[in-house]
Amino acid sequence: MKCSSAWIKSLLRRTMLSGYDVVGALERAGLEIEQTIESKELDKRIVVVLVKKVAQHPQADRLHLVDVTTGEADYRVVCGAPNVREGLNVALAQIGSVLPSGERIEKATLRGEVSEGMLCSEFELGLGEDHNGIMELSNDVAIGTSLCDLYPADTIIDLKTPANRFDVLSVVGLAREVAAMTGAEMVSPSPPPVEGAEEGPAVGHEAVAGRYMLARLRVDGPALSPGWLVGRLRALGMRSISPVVDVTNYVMLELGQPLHAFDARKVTLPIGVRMARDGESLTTLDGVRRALTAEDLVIADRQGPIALAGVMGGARTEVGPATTEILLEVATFDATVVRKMAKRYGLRTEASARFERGLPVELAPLGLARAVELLGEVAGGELRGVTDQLNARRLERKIELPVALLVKLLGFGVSHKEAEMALGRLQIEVSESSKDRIVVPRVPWWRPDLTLPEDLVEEIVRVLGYDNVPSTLPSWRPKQLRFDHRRSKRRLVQEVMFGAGLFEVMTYSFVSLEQLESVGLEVEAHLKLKNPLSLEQAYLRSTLLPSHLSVVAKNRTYGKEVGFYEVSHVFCKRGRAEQPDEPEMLAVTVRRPEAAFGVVKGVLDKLAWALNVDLMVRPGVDDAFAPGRSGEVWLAGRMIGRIGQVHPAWVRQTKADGEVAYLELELAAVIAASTPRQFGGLRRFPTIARDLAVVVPVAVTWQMVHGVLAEMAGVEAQFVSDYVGAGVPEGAKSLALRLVVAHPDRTPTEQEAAEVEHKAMNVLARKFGAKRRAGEATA
Amino acid sequence: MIEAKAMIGRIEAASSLEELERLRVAYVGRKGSVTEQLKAVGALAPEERALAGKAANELRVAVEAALRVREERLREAELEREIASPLDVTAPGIRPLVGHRHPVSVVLDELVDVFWQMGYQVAEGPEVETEWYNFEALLVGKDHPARDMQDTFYLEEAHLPRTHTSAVQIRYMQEHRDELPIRIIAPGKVYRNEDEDARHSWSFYQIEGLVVDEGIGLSDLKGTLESMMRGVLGEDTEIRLRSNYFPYTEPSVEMDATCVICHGSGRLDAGGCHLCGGTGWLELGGAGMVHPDVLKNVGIDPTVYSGFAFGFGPERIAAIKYGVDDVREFWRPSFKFLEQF
Repeated sequence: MKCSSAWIKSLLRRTMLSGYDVVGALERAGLEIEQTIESKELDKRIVVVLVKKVAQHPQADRLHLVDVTTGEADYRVVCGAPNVREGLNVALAQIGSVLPSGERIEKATLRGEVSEGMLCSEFELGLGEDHNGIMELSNDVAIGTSLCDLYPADTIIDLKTPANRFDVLSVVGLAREVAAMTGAEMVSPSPPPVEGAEEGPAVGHEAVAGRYMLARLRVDGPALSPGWLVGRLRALGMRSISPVVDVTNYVMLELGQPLHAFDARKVTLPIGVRMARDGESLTTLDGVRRALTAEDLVIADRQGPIALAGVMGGARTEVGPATTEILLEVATFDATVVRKMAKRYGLRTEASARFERGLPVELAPLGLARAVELLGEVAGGELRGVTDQLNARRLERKIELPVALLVKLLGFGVSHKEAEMALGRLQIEVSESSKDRIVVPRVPWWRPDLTLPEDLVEEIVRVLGYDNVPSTLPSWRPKQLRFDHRRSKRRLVQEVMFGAGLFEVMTYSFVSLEQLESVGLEVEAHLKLKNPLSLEQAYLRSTLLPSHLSVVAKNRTYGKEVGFYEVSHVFCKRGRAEQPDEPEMLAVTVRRPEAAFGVVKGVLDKLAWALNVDLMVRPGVDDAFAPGRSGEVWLAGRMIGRIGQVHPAWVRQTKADGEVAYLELELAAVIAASTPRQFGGLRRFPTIARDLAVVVPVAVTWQMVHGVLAEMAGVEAQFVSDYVGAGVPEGAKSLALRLVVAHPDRTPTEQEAAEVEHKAMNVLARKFGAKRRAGEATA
Repeated sequence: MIEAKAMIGRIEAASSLEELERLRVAYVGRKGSVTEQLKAVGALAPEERALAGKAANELRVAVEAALRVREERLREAELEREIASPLDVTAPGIRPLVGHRHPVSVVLDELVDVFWQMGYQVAEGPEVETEWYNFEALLVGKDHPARDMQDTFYLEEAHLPRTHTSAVQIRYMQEHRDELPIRIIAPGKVYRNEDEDARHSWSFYQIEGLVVDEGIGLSDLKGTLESMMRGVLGEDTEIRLRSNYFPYTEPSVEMDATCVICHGSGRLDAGGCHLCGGTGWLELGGAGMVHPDVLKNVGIDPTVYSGFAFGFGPERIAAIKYGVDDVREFWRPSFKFLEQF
């Protein structure tokens, strides 16, 4: 909310606070200052005037001769502003006045014409940046008013207030905070009470509001509000409308109690507060016709709804220049009901924002009394009766704060006397204060947020100041220590990814329907948001693949080859009311012109090596991948991931060139299985390597070949390459491998190496029908 | 001996190792002239043999010595030639293949390291939470505005993507209420149904901290936040607490740390500090003493135990640390952005 330092200070006594001090006090009180704007005191002789006539200066094309009036005196000034025109209210700096810049206005003659003062721009008045023309004042301001009444020297503070405090959405509430923080004395407005007045207008009984007060007043006064009233409203960003409406707004800003005035002649009594009925409608003050529902709380007369309770009044009963009698409503509406209505109709008004915080029923009579007092002053208001329906209990709450709890929660010694002083500063009454306890017999009605002793602790430390809280470190005496080895393994994973030259990415966990479908995923298997921000983010992903293809698409012009990885939880739907499974996945994606799968497989191999886990890849079938180009990743008898070359059809949709391969596995499973690598000893004697090229059916995997050769003693089989194409029969592939022959006690002989090669060839021929590649020389 | 002089002269004049090798073969190779001479000694008469043998042998020794010396010289010269032209030591090196860690992930690791040194365990909880854990246990009632669809995502069937990591507090306290004291941090992703801007993204990381023990007070919270921010932003960091409101803590505070750019002065050489907007302070997180009703909700006796909790955003810290002016960059992976880290 916006507030004015000058207004706050007008409620404080015996203090010399600057605007800066007020801002500091509010900040210490825990209010978040968003912005402050300072303005200087203006000369009293700068006044509002009406432009009566504009004539061309006889000697100068760009100058005008302007006749203006204050209502009491007329002046002629020479003015060069392009926007000067008849009927406009503008600011005249009279002869002898001094502008904020220090410039003194003298009687001057411009090209032979006398100018009796100067019409000012915003910039010249120090009220804004605009210096392209004179400042245009609205016609709601009485001419002759000094500008210093409309724009008093002030610091305007824009602040955010805590959601549980209705009271700080008012100047009085903020002044109370400033008084508590600075020790200043506060004088609250204390209008004569209205409770004794005669019975007011009839109100139907339906106890849906905490309190409903309705006063009948005669009004008969000037059409315009006085300058001080307009100035204060304007300072807080509100326009002057009429003395009656201005008073309701003023009281709302001052005390925090919204009010609404109906034109009494347009209302057909009795008035009732009730839920709307389906089919009813209301045209609100903003001219919009709104169809109402049974969840709306309305004020209605005999003809139907006349206001959305706590949100906005209706057009039919609006007060206007011809209004001579008003019904003034001061009510306590339910916070949630008002909040929901304001949201439903997109009408978050100054009034609804205050009701949303939950107003106490004690505020209403004060607001009404203050409004009656002010209407008497500015609109000739005369009270003709008050109706008061009280349907909720007044706040009766006692809190006892043990001093031990205070000291425990603060962590430093605070005496009961300091605590009593702090509460006193906040106008919280203390009936007993001893070394044992502090008793607050009655929580002030304007602080319904105080319910527990802990709440009083917060109030006390707020006044004592958080800056005065010492810094200590808690001692740590755990019954036993627990060690967590997962993070060091996670770092090992990060190192492998980093070493592989991959980018780490973070992508959103919510994806679109199109993204799911683009990789052939079943949409029904995914959790869906009821209220997504956009259709782009409507589903919870069960795999990172769609997100990663989007990353490929977004970065398709980045380099010839790029790889990236991400660690993120995914969501696997379970039963209806159950929370989903959320395995944490490691996903790796590589785009390159060719052999993308090989690179991703290399990352998998390196990871398995570094974490020393036995990851098995088994050829699999997966719609996301190109047929025959994907595998399942298995660990200890459980499938924990998948790897494959993404189907070129999906890749083409991303408009990226080349191949894309993808790997995804459950990180927790890999980490849990990880063991330290074991030293296998050093070979003390040279080995003999024999290269072998064989032709086998394409279905024979390296893992199968390696498996059978691993059973032979004294030889290790290494993969060299494989090839499908010219020179190799259909359905077969050429596989090049190396046999490394070793002997534990000496260098193996050529004879032994030849025997091993022969045996290996026989085994491969028997198991897989392998044939030596044609054209290869026999060793 | 004239012959010897000529040979040694040619050897000394050899300008390359190849030429020297040719000479070696020509003189002392298997069919070299010196070798032939030595072989010829055997055919001589015995009385001539000794003298001729000695001469031939001396010739061989001299030639071989000359070859050795020359070879050494030529090899030295070759080494000198290899390093004769200077390198431009300022030219960029050949780039090794390295990856790029995500800045937020780096900050998350650093934060966890800071807390590990302070004795905190890392706790985790589900990202899809029940309303009880996310709201009710934390005293955010059914009618609280935070539960509106405008602020919170809801799933179609039941539950919601958590709006804060505070839910992890509740789960951890429930599971460990018989193993007090508690000292944990809970890093993780959270989700808010709010429009994005340069300071806010609808999906972001949070780190939540919780300490529950006997005799934990507000001064412990202040000291912990101070130490933690010094660990994260530097030893000269100061913090201040401002009063605030959260339903699940009482008292509740907002934490500011001195600006890392202007060091709390609010001013830079020319005008106000752009990072803190001239206030000298950066808003970094919320904290407070755990509300007694929250402790009751998880079965911990608030008359015996007290605790504090705090939460802040790694993205905000990463943005400050690396000078990133739009947090959405972290989430729209562009390699042009990520390659700078």
